[in-house]
Amino acid sequence: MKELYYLLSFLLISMSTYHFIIAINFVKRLIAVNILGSGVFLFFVATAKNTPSENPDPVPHALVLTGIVVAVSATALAVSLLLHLSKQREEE
Amino acid sequence: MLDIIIGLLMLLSAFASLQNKDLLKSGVFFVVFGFMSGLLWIRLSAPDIAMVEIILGSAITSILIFKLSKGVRDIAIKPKLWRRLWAGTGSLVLFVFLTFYLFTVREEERVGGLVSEKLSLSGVESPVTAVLLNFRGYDTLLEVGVITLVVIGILALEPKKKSYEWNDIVVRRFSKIFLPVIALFSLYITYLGAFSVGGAFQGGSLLAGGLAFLSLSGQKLPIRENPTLFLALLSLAVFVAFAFAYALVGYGFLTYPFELSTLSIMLIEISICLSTGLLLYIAIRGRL
Repeated sequence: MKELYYLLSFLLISMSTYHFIIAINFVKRLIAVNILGSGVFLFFVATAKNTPSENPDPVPHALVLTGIVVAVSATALAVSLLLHLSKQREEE
Repeated sequence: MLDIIIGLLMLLSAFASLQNKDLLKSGVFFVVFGFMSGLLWIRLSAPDIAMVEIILGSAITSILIFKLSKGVRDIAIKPKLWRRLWAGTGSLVLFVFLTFYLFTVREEERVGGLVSEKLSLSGVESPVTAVLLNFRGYDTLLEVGVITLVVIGILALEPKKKSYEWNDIVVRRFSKIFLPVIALFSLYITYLGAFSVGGAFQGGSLLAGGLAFLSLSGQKLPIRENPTLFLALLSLAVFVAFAFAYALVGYGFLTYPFELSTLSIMLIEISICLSTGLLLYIAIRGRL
C-alpha cells in the first residue's frame, strides 16, 4: 500500500519532466515545474510515513514546509521575470 | 481506498493541467491538483503541510499563474517530433530508474526518534515547529532570506504600474470586512504552532491569502510604503538579531538558552508570520 505513494510521486515527476521539456509556452512550463515539485514533496512525505513508529518523522515534514514556501516565492519571481520579458518582446 | 481515489484524482488533474491547450483551463486544473495534494497530505498525517499547500501551493500559485497567462500571449506552435521523442525517452528512463527504488525501500527508524527524544529540550511541544525553529533553525533562517531576496528581485524588476484588478463591490467590501478576522486568525494559528498543528508559515500564508484578496480587488493596505517594507524585512532582522545575540553571549549560533527558548521562538514566529504575509503580498502585487 505504501509503495503506491512512491509510485504516484514517480509518475508525477516523470510526467511533468516530459511536459517541461516539450512545452513551448512559459505558463505550461511553470505549471510543470510546480507539479514536479509536488511530486518530490510527495516522495518526502511518503518517506516520513515509512517508519515502524506510530508518528511520522517530523524532519521531512519541516523540509517540505520550507520547500513549498520557497517554491511559491520562486514561482513569484519567475512570473515577474516572464512578464518583464514578454513586455520587452512586445516593444521590439 | 480513499487514498487511491485521491491519488487518481491528483494524477488526472495534473495530466489535464499539463495536457490542456487552453491556459485558463490548465490553471483551473492546477487549483484542483493543489487541493487534491492537500487532501493527500492530510491522509499522510501531515496537517501542517496540508495547510500551507492549500493556501500557498493551490491558491496563491494559481493567482500568480493567472496573472502570467493574462500577460503572456498564447504561442500555438506544436513541439517537433524529435523533441517529443527525446523528452519521452528521457522521462521514461527517469521513471524506470526511480521505480528501482521501490525494490530497496523498507520500513526503518529515521531521525524522527531523535526529535521526539529531545523534544522537551526545545521549548515547544509541536515536533514540526521544534525542527523548524530550534533543531534546524539554519534552514528557516535561509528560507526567510530566500523570500526576502525574491521580493527584492521583484521590486527591482517591475516598474510602478497598475496591476490586475477585480473591481467588484462585493469583493471589495468583503475583503475589507474579512481582513481583520483573517489577520487575527493567522496570529492565533502562529501561536498554536507551539503546541499542535500550526506555526509561523501557516499563519503567514493565511495572512498572505487575505492580503491577496485585498490587492486583487484593487485596494491596498492603509499603511505607507516604507513601513510596509520595514515590516516585511522585520523577520530576517529579528531572526539574525536573536542568532547573533545568543552567539555573543556564548550559547552558539541559533542555540537558545533553555529558559528563554519558548519566548525566543514565539517572538521569531510572530515576526515570521507578519513578514511572510507582507512579503507574499508584495510578490503577488508586483510592487509595494
